[in-house]
Amino acid sequence: MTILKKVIKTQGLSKKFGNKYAVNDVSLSINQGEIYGFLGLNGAGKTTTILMLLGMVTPTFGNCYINNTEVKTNKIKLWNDIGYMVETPYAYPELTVRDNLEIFYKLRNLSSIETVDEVMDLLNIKQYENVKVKNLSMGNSQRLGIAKALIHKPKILILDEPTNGLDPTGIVEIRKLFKRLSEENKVTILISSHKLDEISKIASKIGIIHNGKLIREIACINLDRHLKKTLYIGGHNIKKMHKLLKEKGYSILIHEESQLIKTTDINIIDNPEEIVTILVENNYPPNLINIEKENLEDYFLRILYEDKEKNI
Amino acid sequence: MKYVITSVSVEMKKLFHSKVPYITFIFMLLIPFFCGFFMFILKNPTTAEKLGFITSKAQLTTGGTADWISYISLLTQAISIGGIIVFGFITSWVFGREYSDRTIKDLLALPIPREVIVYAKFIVISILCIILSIIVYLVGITVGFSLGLEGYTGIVMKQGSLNFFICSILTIILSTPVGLIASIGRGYLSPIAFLILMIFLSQIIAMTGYGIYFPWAIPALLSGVSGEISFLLSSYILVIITGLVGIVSTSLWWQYKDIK
Repeated sequence: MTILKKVIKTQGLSKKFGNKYAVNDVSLSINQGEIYGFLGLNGAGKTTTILMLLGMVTPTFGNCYINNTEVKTNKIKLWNDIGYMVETPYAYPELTVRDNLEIFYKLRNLSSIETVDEVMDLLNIKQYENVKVKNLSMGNSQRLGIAKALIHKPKILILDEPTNGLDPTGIVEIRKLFKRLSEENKVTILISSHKLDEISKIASKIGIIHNGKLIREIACINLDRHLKKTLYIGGHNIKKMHKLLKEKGYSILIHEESQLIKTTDINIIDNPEEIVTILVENNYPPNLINIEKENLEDYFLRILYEDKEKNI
Repeated sequence: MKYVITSVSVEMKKLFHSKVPYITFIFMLLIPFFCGFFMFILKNPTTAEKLGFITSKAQLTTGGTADWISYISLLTQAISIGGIIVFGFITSWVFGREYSDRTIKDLLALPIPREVIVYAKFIVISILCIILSIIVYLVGITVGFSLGLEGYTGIVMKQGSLNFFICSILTIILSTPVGLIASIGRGYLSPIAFLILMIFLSQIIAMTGYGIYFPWAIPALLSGVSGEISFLLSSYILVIITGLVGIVSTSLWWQYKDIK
């Protein structure tokens, strides 16, 4: 059995600004090669958590560990393995794309200047190498931000909303790049976002943060199990079909809007043929059977709603 | 040392690719030309009579003689006061731009200690300020010769030049707290306000006779703006302490203050 190495870990991480907790008791762990999707609404605590992981904000309580080393500002060697981008990427506006990358090539103490060209090729910004950053489009500024994070081929990537400002082609391209880095180079990636669809396509694990608290952590492989399913059945005599199934003890109701039989009972949904057989045998053959699966966005909103209800 | 060299080269690139050196160069060039203009008025009584009040002001400031002693003293006074603004502006830009351009976060999780980046910034600021001081001096000397000023002797030039560069360096040292103010204020506005306040306070405190105890008034007092040159070791020490406090506090701010 392979023991997965925990690369990023937080223990009871909290940050208080004034009387308010921006992050409250967040404990998460990310294994090597994992893509961790950090989901949350604006102001949920994603960026503050990331800033604590990067040593830019000191936790009020709790600790952050990267490669089993506690994050402290004076442990500078830690940053050799980490590439990061926090919020909208900014660069020195009066300098060109190449100049900006050369600055990080120097600051990261890299030995081969070719790394600058390699990362420009990787992010498809080579054609803009001599363009001043102030004249770049938002999408290309975003690519430059990612290039700065990748220039030293880090083993860990911490990215805050990395696909903001990218066009749909760019989003797909960057998603493929992150997937490749994770699968081929075993790069551990933490991506924060509020774009649920985007995260679901890339992440191996999702953490949902709300009002500073990590309210749910799910491995994407199990995500399907967490998504609510609803079975709809249509027929010519819905009321009689409903009465029959009720008499047989099934947990169903009539959906007023669509005038369809509706159930969220997982036993029925997993074996729909059972009630279909009963209906057919009783001369109520269904003319519609549909299983609707909750999408990630609905799931996310439901989780937030449940959390709110819990706290009332 | 490797970290310092790397950071200095990066900071040099950032500063010398910006418009700041050119803007400050033009501003500083005004100093020798204005000083030369005063000397020209003093040297030409006919023109002085025609210009009336400007002549009386020029006499008030320089002692009224168009010679090398007065001229170098005037240059020194100008750099002591103008330098507070220009050198302070350079410092506010070097630190404040990281906040206003929002590039600060890119510098805080690198395999280079944060304090080294702060030191590199101060080194680069000092380099530009020294270059500007040398330019002011060289252009000033050229203007002085072209005006044909009297009283040129080796001793006058040596003493005057030494005083000019001492006052320039003291003024450069006094720009370090501006780095802290720019970092606290996260931009350019607070440091500019701070500089205006310091110049205002130096005037007031100098008038009360306690100027030698107020760091921002000291270079101007040493340059002879009050009519006499006061040499007090404690004044030098006070300026140096202020400079060190500026460097250390900026460095601590960058190391330990949360960035939001």
